[in-house]
Amino acid sequence: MSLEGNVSISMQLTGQSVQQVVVNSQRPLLAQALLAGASAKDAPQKVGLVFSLCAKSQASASVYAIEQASKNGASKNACGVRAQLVRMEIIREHLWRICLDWPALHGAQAENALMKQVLILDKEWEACLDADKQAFVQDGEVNPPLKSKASSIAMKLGTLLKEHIFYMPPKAFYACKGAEEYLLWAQYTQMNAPQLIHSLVQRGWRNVGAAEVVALPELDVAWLDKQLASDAAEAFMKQPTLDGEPCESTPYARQQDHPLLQELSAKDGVGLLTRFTAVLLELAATYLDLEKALMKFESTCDVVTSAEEHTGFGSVEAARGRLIHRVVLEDNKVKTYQIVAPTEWNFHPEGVLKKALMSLKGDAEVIEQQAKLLIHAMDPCVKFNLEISHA
Amino acid sequence: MCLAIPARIVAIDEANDMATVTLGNVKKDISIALIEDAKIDEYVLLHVGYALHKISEEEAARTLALFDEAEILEEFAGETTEVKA
Repeated sequence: MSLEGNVSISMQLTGQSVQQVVVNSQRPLLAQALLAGASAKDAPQKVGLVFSLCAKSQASASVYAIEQASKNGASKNACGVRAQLVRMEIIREHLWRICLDWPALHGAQAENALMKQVLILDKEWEACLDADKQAFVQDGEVNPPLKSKASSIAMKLGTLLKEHIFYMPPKAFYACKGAEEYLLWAQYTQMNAPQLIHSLVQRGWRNVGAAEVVALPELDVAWLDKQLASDAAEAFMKQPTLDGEPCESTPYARQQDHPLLQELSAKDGVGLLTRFTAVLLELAATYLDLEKALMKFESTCDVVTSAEEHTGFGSVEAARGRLIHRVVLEDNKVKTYQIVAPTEWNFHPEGVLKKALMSLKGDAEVIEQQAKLLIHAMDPCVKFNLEISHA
Repeated sequence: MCLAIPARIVAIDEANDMATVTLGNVKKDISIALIEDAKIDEYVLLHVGYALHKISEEEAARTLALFDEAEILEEFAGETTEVKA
């Protein structure tokens, strides 16, 4: 097992079908080792430092958990800034996939220069919203961001999305309600994201990997506490289920009520076309939320409700799905720290990826290409290895 | 778990926007196409074959100290040296 972790997927084929799929997420559970004994105040910064890929989502979940365990609510300004930082992170992570991973899936070059611009905007956004680095500090003094500066960065991001991803404003893309209009856009727009969508249509792969979806619902805090306080907590963190049912926490699970996704899933099921479309819709939706919150600086705190004494939960919708942190404090220090990450739901050994891969048909080369597309559509946050063998 | 690990640049291949980085006894070749003006001895955060961004030596030291405290790096010190990302 590597420190960064990886997901290994092996498929065994018989003739033109898949006989067996083994999905194994090998990611070390590091939170307890890293955070046990840390002071409650320091824990969220340490989380942001160590789990730095989705640092804002991780630090948000952490600080909400710590605040709840200490019975010490955040200021409304802090909640607003945290939410805006998480939105930018979701946008950055989706763009990472679209610019760097998606091109290779339809034979194009990675868009490094574009991604570089995204990373610059991400840094500017952080500096503008959290210049004093107080957003994830318990009792931190957080001021609303300077609106003109934040608007200017958001406008640059909106222009980038319009000119390089959607070829229309994100709002117009999100308003697309019909599959016909959407597929015409994919056919005639010479950009990387629509070209991937169009390549799926051309290859007749719209419905590839269509499988039943069990979306992760809101979780009851008492139920979650019971899982994570039990002797089976480690098994739950590695392979979470909802009373034995593996659920998915993906962009599709979050965006499934969008009219375009409803139409696509009715025609083609929840396969490649529907899943990649969900990522694009979520990218547009997150940008619109970011823009809206800028116009009317939000002042609500989305905190998980009641938990046991000295125990706190933080739940944040991160780029790849729901991220849950649980902390137990003793003498204002971390006694127990646990994280349930979205990759563990989505890459569960009996989860949605396995179901999708089991449905593939064709020769080994085609199955391999389709499997890679499905894995990218569900997006693990670590590298993956795919092995295909014949029975 | 979205872990990004600080690593030190020890060699740069400017023509291909690549660099070799080290973390303990592990060496990797990574892309530096997403960061500006990378230099030898600077620290970067790695993610799936890319340098995600540069970090200061202090920030790298703080992060590595956290891993040290938890004795995590030692646990993984026996990993095979990787030379290709």
